[in-house]
Amino acid sequence: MLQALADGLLQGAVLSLAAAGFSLVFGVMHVLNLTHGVTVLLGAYLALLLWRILGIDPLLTIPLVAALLFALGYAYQRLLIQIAIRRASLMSTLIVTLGIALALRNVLTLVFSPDVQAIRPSYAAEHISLGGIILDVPHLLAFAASLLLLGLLAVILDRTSLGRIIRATAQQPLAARLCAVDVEHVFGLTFGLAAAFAGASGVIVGMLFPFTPTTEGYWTLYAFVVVVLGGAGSPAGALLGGLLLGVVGSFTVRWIGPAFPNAMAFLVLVLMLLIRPNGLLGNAFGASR
Amino acid sequence: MRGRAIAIAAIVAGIALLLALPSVLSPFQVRVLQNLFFAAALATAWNIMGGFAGYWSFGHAGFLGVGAFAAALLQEHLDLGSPAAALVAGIALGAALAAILAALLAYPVLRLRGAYFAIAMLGVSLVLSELASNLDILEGGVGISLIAVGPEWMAPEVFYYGVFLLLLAVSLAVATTIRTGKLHYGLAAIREDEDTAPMLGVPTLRYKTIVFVLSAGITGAIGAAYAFSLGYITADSGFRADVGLDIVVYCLLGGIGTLAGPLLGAAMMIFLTQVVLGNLLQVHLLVTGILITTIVLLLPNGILGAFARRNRRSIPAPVVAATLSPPIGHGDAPVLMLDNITVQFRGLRALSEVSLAVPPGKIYSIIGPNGAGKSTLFNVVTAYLRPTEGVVRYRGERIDGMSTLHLSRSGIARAFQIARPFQGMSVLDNIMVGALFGRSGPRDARAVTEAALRITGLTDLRDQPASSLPIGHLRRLELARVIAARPDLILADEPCAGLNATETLDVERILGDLRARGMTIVLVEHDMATIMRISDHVCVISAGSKICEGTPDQVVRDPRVIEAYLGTPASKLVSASLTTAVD
Amino acid sequence: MTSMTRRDFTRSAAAGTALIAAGSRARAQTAKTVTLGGSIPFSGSQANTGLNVYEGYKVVVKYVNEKLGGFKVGNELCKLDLQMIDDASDPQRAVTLIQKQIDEGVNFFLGSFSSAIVLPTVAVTERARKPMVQAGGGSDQIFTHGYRYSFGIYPRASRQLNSFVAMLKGMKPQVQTISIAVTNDPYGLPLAAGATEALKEAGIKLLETYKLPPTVNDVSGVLSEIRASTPDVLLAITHEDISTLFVQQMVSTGTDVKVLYMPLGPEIEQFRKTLGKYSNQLLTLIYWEPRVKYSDPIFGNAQAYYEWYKANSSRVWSNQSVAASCCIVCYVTAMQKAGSLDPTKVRDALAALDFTTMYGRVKWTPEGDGDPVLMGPTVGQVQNGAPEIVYPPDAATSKLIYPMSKWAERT
Repeated sequence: MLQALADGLLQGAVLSLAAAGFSLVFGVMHVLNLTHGVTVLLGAYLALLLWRILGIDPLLTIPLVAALLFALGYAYQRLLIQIAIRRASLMSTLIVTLGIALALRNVLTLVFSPDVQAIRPSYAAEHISLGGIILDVPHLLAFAASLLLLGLLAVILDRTSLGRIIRATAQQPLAARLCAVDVEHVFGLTFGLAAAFAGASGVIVGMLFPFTPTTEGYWTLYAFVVVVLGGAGSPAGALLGGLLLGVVGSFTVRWIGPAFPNAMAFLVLVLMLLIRPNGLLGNAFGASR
Repeated sequence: MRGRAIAIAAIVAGIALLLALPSVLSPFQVRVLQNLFFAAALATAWNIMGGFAGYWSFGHAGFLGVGAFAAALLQEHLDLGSPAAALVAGIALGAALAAILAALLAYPVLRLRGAYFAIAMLGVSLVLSELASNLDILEGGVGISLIAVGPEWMAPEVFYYGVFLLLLAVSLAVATTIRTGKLHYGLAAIREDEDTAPMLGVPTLRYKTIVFVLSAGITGAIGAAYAFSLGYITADSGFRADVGLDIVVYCLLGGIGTLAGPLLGAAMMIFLTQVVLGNLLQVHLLVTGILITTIVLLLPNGILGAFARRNRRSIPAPVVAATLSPPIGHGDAPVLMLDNITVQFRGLRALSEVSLAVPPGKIYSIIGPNGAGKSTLFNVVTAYLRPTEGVVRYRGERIDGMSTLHLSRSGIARAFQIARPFQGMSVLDNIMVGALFGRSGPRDARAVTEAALRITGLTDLRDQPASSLPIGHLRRLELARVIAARPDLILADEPCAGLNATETLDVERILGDLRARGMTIVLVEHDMATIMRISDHVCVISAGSKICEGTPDQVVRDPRVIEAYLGTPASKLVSASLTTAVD
Repeated sequence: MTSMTRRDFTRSAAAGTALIAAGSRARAQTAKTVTLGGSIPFSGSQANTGLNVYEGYKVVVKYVNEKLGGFKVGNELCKLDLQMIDDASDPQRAVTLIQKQIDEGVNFFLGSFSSAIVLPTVAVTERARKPMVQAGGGSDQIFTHGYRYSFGIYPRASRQLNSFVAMLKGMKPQVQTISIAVTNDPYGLPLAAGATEALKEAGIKLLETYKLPPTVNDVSGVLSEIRASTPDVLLAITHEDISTLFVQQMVSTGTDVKVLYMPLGPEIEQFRKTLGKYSNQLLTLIYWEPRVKYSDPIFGNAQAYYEWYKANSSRVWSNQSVAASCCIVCYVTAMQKAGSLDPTKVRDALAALDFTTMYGRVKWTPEGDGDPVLMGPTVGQVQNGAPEIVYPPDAATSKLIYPMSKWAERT
């Protein structure tokens, strides 16, 4: 039972990190970014490249991957999403992000082949035993990295001027405009930040789970569940939602059967939407629609 | 009538053509058309909820799968004698189960809006898909084979061409029936502004449930036929999540909310992916993705959506003029009575023991300085707020705590200070909603609408989209919509706020006209000149209490009123100059 | 190394060698094009295996057309034209586009990968009376419809693990308990069902069957239970990506078993590359191995095929690619035997085939799947990073390492 809890928490931390970017975009801009999963995978593939060609340990590649994806995310928002929101409704923007996700998935398949990939640094096989519970090193490192990165995101949002401006614009876009804030630029920064964290999580995902371009859908879906569970816009919400999801998954395996963690996750999604659609911590930026 | 005959002849000819088509086409082309009918039928069924009501479900794949598995499991466990029976029973069961599922989901899920609803439905379909994969009794993991049900002498693609064509016809028939009826206006109101709709008498939950169940049932039927057409179904191929999203794309591309839009969108995409790009290896996702993105960006309303806006032809006005008088006659008893109303918000006493009685067929104005509690009083009367103590009676019946819908059915209408027209609809259609869901029957609705247009002077603007109107016209539209419901009692919340002198006089004229027709009007207003000109009775509220009541002249001279407004005792003012200022 | 004649019934295989094409002598003759149609999942979850299958088809077509200059059917010189469409793992799409090929006059079809696609497409080709030879769908349900034009290289799924159970029965020290982990899909479930039956007959106790959903990210729960119940053998019937995850997590949680058998995974080079030393001693399904010594009517022998494959393909060989190549070898042989390109005559010739190819012996059951004894898989084990055949003894290239050493002790 304790093992199940431990497994769930370890798994959950990764889910939290992988959902943080999605949560930010949804909380600030109310956009459901279906390209999120592909962004995570982009991070994984980038780390794979760096590891294969230059032999760099994946954890060390996180800053570079994050920086690259920040730029990509910013460009994506300014060049595409911005236009979509202006011309079409928010729901149509969702479809645009879906189209891009499909296209990028195909590109990844063409470039990297559909083969199953995994990043396995030398410590990937270790584990420690703590009072009868087995904790494997990759998951432990991932847990630590996730907490660190989520903490970093929280600090960015709370303490830096970038964070302040994002929060202000999220709560009152019109007022922000009136204060001479370039709202589109801020949204671009938000998207970039989200993409950076998605990419960072992708590095960790690549270390833990074998991946192909097709697995991107899975990461977008689970990001949904995490956001609905924990609340949008805040790293704390993502952490809570992710940990909860991980634990629900591992307890489902323990008590209902190994075939049902996904079914349970989606059931929790639906129930949560019916009971408390804003998540346990609510939307971090005030009233949502 | 000739137009009608021609239309029927065209439809019959079209059907005959469609039925004869397979004989001249290659089997591949027949199959492409079969897939087209499948996609178009699904898209049309989705559209009655997504397009008409504005509730986008991302989980219709769930209903598709329910239908598919219902049919597959039925024919596996029950021998129904003939293949035809298996097909018919499968389709019926698939439709029924999907519809029942929708009915069960309706109350909880339809409370969600926008993206939340979409994702909740996606979640539902994913849960079902996972259960089908992993629950042994559903056999979705190992897959279920279905018996062949077409007649031996007919090529299967021709048979299913017919089956899906039939399902498309059913889907279109349902969509058309809804589109040309009262239900459509209600759905449009829900789509445009779901909070205002019940105030006009639209039964929102009932209507949403109706289209939800219909949409689900048709999709379930299609799912059953789909399973038979493939001959083998697994959880993956039955609950096609990609199809669930595809149908949204079809509607978006073609024109959401139109009848032909889903057909057009489905046709485009099917031809594209199966005919044009059929031989493309390895890049068809890339091409599809870019295409979807480009089209949604270039044509945000879809192809037909761009046309629909422009070509709003109006129906000619009926010859017989309608009466806008309230249907129920009334005697002299007060229409509205407030008995000792007290409203306490934690620390603040907003209203203290206010009592008033509104006589029938008069204009009753409520005035008072800012913060006096007028809005609170108004909210109590319209049942937005429950009083802490006291009773509100309308025609002798208690109405405090009544639902918005029930109130509007009883004949109370509220005109808002911040106008909330249905932006995407024309002036005429806005008023039609009021007329259809008010106290006239659907037959009189058109005539009543024309009358409302005339009274408010909006006849020439009937085809304009509401979003293009300036504030003065918006107020008049608001009133027109309210009038069209033929209420007994109109509650108007600062109808002249923000209007210039001419516009104000327009509104006053309309209110006077309504009074002449027998309606009772309760008004909250700041503009003293207006109050003096049109009110029969005035009630003054200050600091939560009624301080005075009477005719305009009586009230204006009352020293308590003067003190409340000006802050100084009347004795310190020259009363003569006050009365002249008011004249 | 013992010779590779599978089950040693090769007497009738002599017929194969005589049919090498005479086309190299007929330079100036214009060739008739024989189109091979069908679909492959180039995208979707089966895309990686789909590409393997495609490679298998391509190399044979290239050899026949370029190296041999074509093949003779009766007096006509023929060349092959491979026309595979992308079905994107969508059965509706596959069925529609294959119909198009039928309309355009394609007479011979190769199969896609995954039973969910193969079944509906076979129904279409059957009705049109065109043969389909496939190396992609093993689900029993493909072979219980009474189709006459459908031929599958693999035996049906419920029989594919018979050799493994037979091996377990004979192992010393005796194997007592086994647990099965299986993905809920049309491939895994029949395999598991068949194995369960065979295990019961062999008297080996099945402790638990863990069913997994098709997408899974974490098997630590299952592994905890396995650590607690300590089965001697773990049979994990999962696709390559989940097999990789399984081993990864077994290693990192220190979950050890004496025998680990994974029908899909260890035989793929990418899997072995990813897992390095941890892929050693894993058991798997092996249908083919580069060192086999079969003779072949087109290539001469398996070695020649292997050399050609290496030189002409960018992807490493796999079970599926070799089985796919075999499909075309069967077609060409059948066409030549029938002396005709009429689909029904070729179908009859296919059904009557009993010969050796570079893949091994080919002989079909009356229902159209591979004969379980003649075409069933051997048991392979990864040793020093490469697959070796360890059972049955007459086909073995190496001795079985049993029990498997602990993960922590790997070097």
